[in-house]
Amino acid sequence: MTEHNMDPIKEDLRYVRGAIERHEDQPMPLFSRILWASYCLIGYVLIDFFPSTGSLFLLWGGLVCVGLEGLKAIIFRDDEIRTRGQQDLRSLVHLLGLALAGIVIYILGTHGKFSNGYSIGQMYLVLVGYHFFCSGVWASTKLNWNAGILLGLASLSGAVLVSFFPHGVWTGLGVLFAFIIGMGMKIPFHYQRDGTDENSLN
Amino acid sequence: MAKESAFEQLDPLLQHRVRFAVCVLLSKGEQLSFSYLKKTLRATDGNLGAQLTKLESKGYLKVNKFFENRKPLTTYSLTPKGRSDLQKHLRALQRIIDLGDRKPSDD
Repeated sequence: MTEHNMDPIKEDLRYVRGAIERHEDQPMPLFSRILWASYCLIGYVLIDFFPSTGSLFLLWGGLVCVGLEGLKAIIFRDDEIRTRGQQDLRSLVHLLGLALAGIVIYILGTHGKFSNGYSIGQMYLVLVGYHFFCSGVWASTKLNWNAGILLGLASLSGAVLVSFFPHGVWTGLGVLFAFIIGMGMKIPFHYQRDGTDENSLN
Repeated sequence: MAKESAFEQLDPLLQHRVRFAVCVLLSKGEQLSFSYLKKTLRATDGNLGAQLTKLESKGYLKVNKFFENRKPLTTYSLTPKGRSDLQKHLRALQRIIDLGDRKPSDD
């Protein structure tokens, strides 16, 4: 087969790849950015200054945020994409799992199963860190895999650091989370996806 | 010869870039609307409409029509036949790519 036959295929694959990238690189909605960035900033800073209020805010505020996301999805249903199918269901189950784990930690903490309030906080940070790390690993798009892993590692590190620095770590994490989420979980990073790229056709 | 054979296994319907891209986008189990496909594929109304009709007539696509806030909305999804034929087309493309990587003496 001559090179002549390969050129249209190369062009078609470039075109399809561009379409897939545009499809996958949907920006995080502004509503979600503001909601979750505010939740992290307010909740984490409160933990440093008013621990009891902060823990209640993180628990109930998180549930309210999940509820608001669901309400927004129902009221302002996107008429361009009817359904994102399995991806949405997976995200919902993932968030529900996180919410359930948070409730279990809270119940255990309020029944004196942890030595002190910091233990509850540390458990929470480990949970959130693992959640973000996994969401980064399993992210199907190049949008947020590195942001997820970064926030996951930061949260896990924070869980250790609060043992040595009781004040300030939560505020630092709150600012970092709010900043990354406010940017739409996007960290500019060149990433060449595998599969049918130009080089594999040469 | 192997490459000739791989070329013959390509699906003629999917050798059009817009039709191929539509099937790939829908292969993740999503239902996408005409306006979304038009924006993502950077296609014109006429071209996209013609390609979608062709895919629908060959049984690759299912058209879903309904009303949303009293506005008519049309979405498209891939049928099992469309999914299966897309997989065959992708396998043939992969073979062509693999054979393209080889030196001429390998063939």
